[in-house]
Amino acid sequence: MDNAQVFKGIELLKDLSVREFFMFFVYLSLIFILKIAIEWILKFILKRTSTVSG
Amino acid sequence: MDLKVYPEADEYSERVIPVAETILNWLAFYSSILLFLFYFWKERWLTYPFYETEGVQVTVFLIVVVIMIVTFASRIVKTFNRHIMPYIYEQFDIDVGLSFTINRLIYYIVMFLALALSFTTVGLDLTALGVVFSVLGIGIGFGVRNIAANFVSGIIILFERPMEVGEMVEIDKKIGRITRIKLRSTVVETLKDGTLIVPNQYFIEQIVKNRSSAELFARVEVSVAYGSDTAKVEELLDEAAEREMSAMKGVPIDQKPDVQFIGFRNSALDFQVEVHVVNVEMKERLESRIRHAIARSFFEHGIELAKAAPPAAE
Repeated sequence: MDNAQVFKGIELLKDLSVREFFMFFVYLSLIFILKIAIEWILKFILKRTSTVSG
Repeated sequence: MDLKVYPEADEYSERVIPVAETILNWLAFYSSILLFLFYFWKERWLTYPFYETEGVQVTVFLIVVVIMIVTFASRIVKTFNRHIMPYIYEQFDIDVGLSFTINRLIYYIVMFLALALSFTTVGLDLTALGVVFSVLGIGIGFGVRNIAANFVSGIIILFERPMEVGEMVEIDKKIGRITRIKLRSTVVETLKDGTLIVPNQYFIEQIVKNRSSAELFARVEVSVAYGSDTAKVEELLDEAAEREMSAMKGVPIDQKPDVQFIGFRNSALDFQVEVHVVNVEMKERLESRIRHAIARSFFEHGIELAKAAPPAAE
C-alpha cells in the first residue's frame, strides 16, 4: 500500500466544511426521528384497534 | 364510555408490530447509507482510490458497498429464518432443537459467503486469509477443545436422535426427564435432585440408560437371616406387594408382582420383589410402601432380617 496515496486521500477530507458535515448529521437524525415517529404512531393505532370503544 | 378489548385484534397487533419494526429498521439503516452516498456524491474523497490491489481500486465508496453487502446478507438471512423457515419446519414436523441447528447453519453459510464476496470485492486475497484462519483455528481448537466437543456432540444428538425431549433417562443413578436439548448441553429435570445440566459429550461417550422405551419397575431387595423358611418368605413378599399394589391408585394390576430368591450370602438370603409401574413418581412411592409392608409382615410372622455383614478385617 502506498502511504503517500493514503495521506493524499485523507488530505482531501479537508475540503469538507464543518457546516456540510454538521448538516449530514442533521439529516441522519431526521431519518431516525421519522422512524421513531412512524413506529410510535403505528403502535398507537394498533393499540386503538384492539381496544375499541363500545 | 366502556372500553371493549378484543383478544384477536391484540394477537394481530402483537404479530404485526415486530414485522413493522423490522421493516422500519431496514428502511432507516439503508436510508442512512444512501443519504451518505448521495450527500457526499460530489466529494472527491468518496471515489478517491486509497490503494490498488489486483486491479481493484479501493475507495470509501467501495467499502460502503461492502458494508451494505454484509449487513444486507445478515438481515435477509435473519428475516428468512424468522419468518419463512418456521412454516417449512411446521410442514416437515421438525422440532425446535433441530430447526435451531438448521437456522444457525444457514446463517453461518450465508455470512461466510457474504464475507468472502466482500473481501474479494475490496481485493483481499482469500488464500492469505485462509492461512491466518487455519493457524487461529489450531490455537482455538486446543483452547476450547471441550466446548467444541460438546457442540459437535450436540449437533450429533440433534441429527442422530439417540434421545428426544420428553424422554426419561438415567444419569449417575438419577432418573429425569429431558426438557431441552441445547447445542452445548442438555437440561434434565429430575424428580428430587433438581435440574441437571449435562454436557452433550456425556451422552455420546457414556452409557446412558433411556428409560422411556423400557418398562419401569418398582424394585425392592430384602435379605433375611440364614435358616429362614424361603418359601414362607416368598409368600409373604408376594402378599405384601399385591396388597400395596391394589391399595395404591394408578398401579397396573394386570401384572402379578414378581418375587425371586436371588442369592446366598454368608449370613443372608437375598430376595427381590418387582412390580410394574408407569412412572418414576409411582415407582419411588410404591417401593417405600412395599418396604413398610414387608417390615410389618416379617415382624408379625417372626421372620428375621439379615444382620449387616461384619467388616472383612474382623
